[in-house]
Amino acid sequence: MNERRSSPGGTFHEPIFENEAHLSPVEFGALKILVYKCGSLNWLVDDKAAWGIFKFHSESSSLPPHHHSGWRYLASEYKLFSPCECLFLHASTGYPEQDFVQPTTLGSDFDWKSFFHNAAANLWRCDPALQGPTLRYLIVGNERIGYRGIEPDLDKRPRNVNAEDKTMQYWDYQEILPEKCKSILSTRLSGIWEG
Amino acid sequence: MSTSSQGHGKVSNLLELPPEVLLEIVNSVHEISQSRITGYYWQSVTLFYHQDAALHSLSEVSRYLRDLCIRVGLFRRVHLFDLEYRPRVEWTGHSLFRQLNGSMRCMEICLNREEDWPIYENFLHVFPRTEELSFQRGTSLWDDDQADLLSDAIKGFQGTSLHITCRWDSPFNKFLSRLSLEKITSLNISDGTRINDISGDDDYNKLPIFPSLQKLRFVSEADYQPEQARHVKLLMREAPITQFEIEYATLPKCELEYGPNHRRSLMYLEVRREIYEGLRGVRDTLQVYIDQNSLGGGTSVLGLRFTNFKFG
Repeated sequence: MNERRSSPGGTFHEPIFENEAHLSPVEFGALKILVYKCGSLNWLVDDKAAWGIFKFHSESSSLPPHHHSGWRYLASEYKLFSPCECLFLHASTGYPEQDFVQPTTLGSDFDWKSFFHNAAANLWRCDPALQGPTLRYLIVGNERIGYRGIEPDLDKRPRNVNAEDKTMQYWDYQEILPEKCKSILSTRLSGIWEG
Repeated sequence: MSTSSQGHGKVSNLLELPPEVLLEIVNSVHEISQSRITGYYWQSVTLFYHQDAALHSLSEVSRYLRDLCIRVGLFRRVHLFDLEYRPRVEWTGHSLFRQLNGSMRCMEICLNREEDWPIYENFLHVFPRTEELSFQRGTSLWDDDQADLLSDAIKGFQGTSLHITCRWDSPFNKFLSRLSLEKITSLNISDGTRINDISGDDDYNKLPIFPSLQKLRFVSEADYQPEQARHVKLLMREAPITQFEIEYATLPKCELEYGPNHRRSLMYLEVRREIYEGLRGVRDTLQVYIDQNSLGGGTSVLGLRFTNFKFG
């Protein structure tokens, strides 16, 4: 196993793919959907290490940067599998403090605005040299709590932001109707997904 | 299959009995089977509780009648137990007891109980639409002769799915090569799978090719993840995989807690590297990628709490 150093702004597996040419991302032309299961959605709302949103450091100490961003992880994962159109976060529950209670809704207090803002800031953060985002849909939820999703608002011009010594484009987002979310999922997961 | 071929004539005679009599036989077999496992040493018990050489041993009679009942679909539910009193497998027939249209989705194969293998042929005869064979964890075949025997016993399998949690060594490899692998479209490698005796790079070429494999699911086990991942990568060769699903046993931990070169992180990276290399090879067919738990790894303590959640 090679000695490895993690990049301050990266995730655990980024160094592998940056340093090993034979593993450089290739085009997954047939890929319809990426599914990532997670327990709760709340910790993604509170993600303090997402790109361009918060300063990337530990709030509780002066220790070096860490990898506590689920959004950064998802963004780097997506790079490996582009140009897949759809990313689905399958949540087992909306309430991490109630492991054994399966709610039927996420609750009116769930901070969708921060959640989607974090998602867009990470997943639709593009190099200006590219022709815009290839990820079309981010969908979240499950059969019990329902589905919500966002897509990049391609009618608006992206914002150029300097972050971490690079200029990046950030695309705004718009919500997808729940019925359409379900339709997008069923099209791609028909006969495969039972959740 | 030795049991049925020796008793074929007897089977015909028994079938002439009225159904209610046959039902009595079933009940008796079941009761005896239940009582025998509570005996001090069941193999020494005979029908009349004496060591009379003229009598069959109870296990022999019981096995014969059991095979008969299965062959004619004369059961509602069958439980088989091993000597540790654990229910091992269950088949369900029709509520009317006598028919052939019961269903069996998955048949569990116990590799270390050779005496049970003949019954698999019967079950596959009664349930030709059995979809999956499952190979139990912690077991394997002794040698190539056993591989031949077992492949004979399940030669009637027409399904498309294999669930493997047993030790995957040379005899098991040989056994697999006897199956019609071109029919297999779904392969589930679960956490009990150990790769033995096929550890060298050259030997991996001996692994079977699954030319029709579409769905591959991999649940890794903590101590064997890298070997398992290499194995899974090689199983993707020449396979038109459309769906890949992974669940990691070991996930990275945050740098603040363990550092980037902590064993957990390195093991995760090794697995990640192998799997991604394999997936690159199927990039033109892969349609669905499902990650069961890595979103929690190295990203959130809360996420880690759910790493063992099973979907569905």
